[in-house]
Amino acid sequence: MQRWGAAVLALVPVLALSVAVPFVNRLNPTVLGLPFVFFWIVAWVFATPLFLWTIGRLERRW
Amino acid sequence: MTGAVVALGIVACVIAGTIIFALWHSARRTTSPQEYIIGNRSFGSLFLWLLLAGEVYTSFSFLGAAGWAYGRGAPAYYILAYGACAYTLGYFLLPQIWRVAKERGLLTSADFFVDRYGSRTLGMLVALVQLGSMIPYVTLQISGLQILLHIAGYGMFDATAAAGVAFCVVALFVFTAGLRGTAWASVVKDALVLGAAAFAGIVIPMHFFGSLPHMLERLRAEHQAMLTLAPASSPSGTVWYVTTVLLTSVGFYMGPQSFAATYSAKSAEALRRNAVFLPLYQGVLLLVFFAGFAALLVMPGLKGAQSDQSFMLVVQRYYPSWVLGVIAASGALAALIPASAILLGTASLVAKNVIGDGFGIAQSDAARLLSTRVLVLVIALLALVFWLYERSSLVGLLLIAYNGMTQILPGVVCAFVWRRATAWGVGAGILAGILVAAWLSASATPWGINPGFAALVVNVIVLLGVSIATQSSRDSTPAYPPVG
Repeated sequence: MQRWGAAVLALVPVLALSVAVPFVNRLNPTVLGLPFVFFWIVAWVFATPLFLWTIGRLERRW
Repeated sequence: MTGAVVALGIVACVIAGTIIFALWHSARRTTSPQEYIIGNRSFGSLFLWLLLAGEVYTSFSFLGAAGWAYGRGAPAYYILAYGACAYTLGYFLLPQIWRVAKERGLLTSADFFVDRYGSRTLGMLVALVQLGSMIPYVTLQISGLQILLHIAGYGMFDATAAAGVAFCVVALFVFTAGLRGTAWASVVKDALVLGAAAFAGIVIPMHFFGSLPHMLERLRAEHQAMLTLAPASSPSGTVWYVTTVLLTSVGFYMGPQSFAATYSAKSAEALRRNAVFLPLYQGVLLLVFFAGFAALLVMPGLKGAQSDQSFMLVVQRYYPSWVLGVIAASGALAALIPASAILLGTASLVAKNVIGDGFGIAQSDAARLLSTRVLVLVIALLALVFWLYERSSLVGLLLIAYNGMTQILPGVVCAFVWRRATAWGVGAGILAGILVAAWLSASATPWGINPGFAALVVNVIVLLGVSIATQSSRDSTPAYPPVG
């Protein structure tokens, strides 16, 4: 259960940054001045540490 | 003329100062191959973070990323994305590799293959593949260095000789200091690069456009088409993006220097902490993108390889020479420090797995230390010769090197997940992958699929097929048990 949870959590940012990008490949709406696809990628890059940290919690590493 | 002297003087002082700082911290400790190559497996979370950030963010991050933002726009987004994907993979993979390396006393990346698959020939193959892909990688750094020195000299002289000399100085530094020296030099490099990126990505846009949002507004108005990816069917479209992100993120840790950094960790925990915090460092790349976009608005019209120089040319034209000097110096370190880590990782690989295991030469500790050191210089020389005769644009070289390097990944992953993988299977997969990558890089792929990605798929299929065909009746090489 724990292992599956970790795997799913890890896949979320990876998929969001790769296969999901063609589906959000749009200029509008702009967020913080950034074209939407650019914002999407930036947001997921900075969200990745949160996912990894949560995985560590789930695996009781910290 | 005085401007060039000031800027180049600063670059020279920063390089010299960094080397002295690193030598001062590491000089008296290099006595064994373990200390020289992997720092006696003693690096804690923070030091490891600085070393990894030092290795990963090269002159490509500095010049190439800005150049891509300037010249291509949206395809550059992949550079931001793949790092975060790679760190996620690293969270799971690196602690496993580390544990095996510690238990079995491994020193190099190829050692991992020798240990798991019981074949020194496979180890040699891996070592030669990595040597072949690392030479263009180092070459790329010398090219980056030359561009920076050329700009810092205000184009008044040919920087070829200066870049060659700086590179040789760094090779001698690695010869003396080993991995611990490289890690200390990374400390200086990381700090300077962060400062330079902040200047380029925040101060330049504010100076020219009042604020970052104003710059982005103008960018949207004037360059709308380049801010989203092209449709799937075009050469740098969405299919290219997805396959490139996947390929480059799985290949991320497959260089010999990444294995060395992994082995140098004090604990598996240190590696996991690293993986959590490394994506934040991608912020540096975001700043570099802003610098590239600012350059596009301030100084449009640069083409081809010149777009790699875009934001440096803005600094050169509009800012005092000391600013140019400091930024060029950070860029020079971003070329030299990763090059030093690569030289060391590759040299240890050739010394141990080709000369030692393959030819039975230099197998004692003292002899191995000496042969590693000599090979640092030999490989540096090879890279220099390659550079003098074979230069192409920064990113082109990087992708070729990456495609070759990534082919060893299936063998690493199978070590943990598939106990029936054999040395023949892994070796045949690597060779097939490289052949496909070489063949595809000469022609255009359908829908712009990344050639390395297609090669990796072929590699995995061959690995599975040949492994099943070459099963021995006794199961002599159990997979490493996964641990929670």
